[in-house]
Amino acid sequence: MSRSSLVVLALLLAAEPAVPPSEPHLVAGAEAFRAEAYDKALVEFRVAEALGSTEASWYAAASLLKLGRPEDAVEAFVLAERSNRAATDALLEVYRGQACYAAGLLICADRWFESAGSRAGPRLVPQLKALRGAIRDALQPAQLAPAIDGLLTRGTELAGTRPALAFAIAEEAEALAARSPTRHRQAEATALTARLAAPPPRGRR
Amino acid sequence: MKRCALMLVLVLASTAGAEELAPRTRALLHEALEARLTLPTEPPSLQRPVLPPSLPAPAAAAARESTTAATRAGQNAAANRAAQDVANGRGRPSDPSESARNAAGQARAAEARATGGNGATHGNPNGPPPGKGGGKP
Repeated sequence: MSRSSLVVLALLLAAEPAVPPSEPHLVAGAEAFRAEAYDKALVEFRVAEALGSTEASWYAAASLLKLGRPEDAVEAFVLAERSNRAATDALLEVYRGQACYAAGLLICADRWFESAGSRAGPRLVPQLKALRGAIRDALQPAQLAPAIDGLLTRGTELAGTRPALAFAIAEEAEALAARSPTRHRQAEATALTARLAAPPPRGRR
Repeated sequence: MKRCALMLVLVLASTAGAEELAPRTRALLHEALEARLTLPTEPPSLQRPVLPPSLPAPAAAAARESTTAATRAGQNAAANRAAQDVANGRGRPSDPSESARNAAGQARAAEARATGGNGATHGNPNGPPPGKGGGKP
């Protein structure tokens, strides 16, 4: 073996894959989440996020849901998706669906429960199916118009300060409008959603 | 020259993927989420729930005060540890840059304020109230 080959070998052995700085915080966040210390988990995930982990954003969103802050969770899930769409899985989708459900965004909840249901395990599938059935029953045509009005008001209010949350709300209004027999304020909802859609990506965050 | 280039490529290839989540970390995260997964039991409603405000800008002063309260209550022990960790660069030999440290510190402070501040009103270390996504099945 030549001398340069030995040098290469030595360098390869020395160059262990570095542990990303966010890793210990993700581990600490997972432990805190498991211990139901969701406030601590949220802090750890936020620190991991600040240190460059885009995956941490998904777990921060789940922690927000557990802290009883469903709107913040919905917003965090939208932002997590925008920064790293690939980092989600069926379990995170169930959490996301729950955030939407608790925030009263039923079409959004249905969408994520459906997506998760196609990949979830046998324990979850019937529960998700039951939830989706209940959502279908709750979407009574007579109640759609007032719900759309409320969503558009809230979405417009938040458009300037929390565009990601406003986007989720506008999307819900748009989806409800499409189901409304009169297409109640559909054009308005579509326009608001389009205005709040994420700007084209400019590379990894 | 060619050998140098090859060497560089090999070394870079060996360190590539350092930003990937370690399988063990991913498994820990997955297990934690799975262990605490609970599905809502209350019927769905198109009526949007009345939610407490989530740290609006005018509440900044209150949030500053709540940081002290949170510290007193010992709620942000993890936050302090995390910030200390970040500030010291402990456990991260790679390169916690100054800006990353600052960002982490800010994240810690913001969340400590948010969780501490909301703790008095709607934060709940044991999970959300029933019907807010955290009820036991």
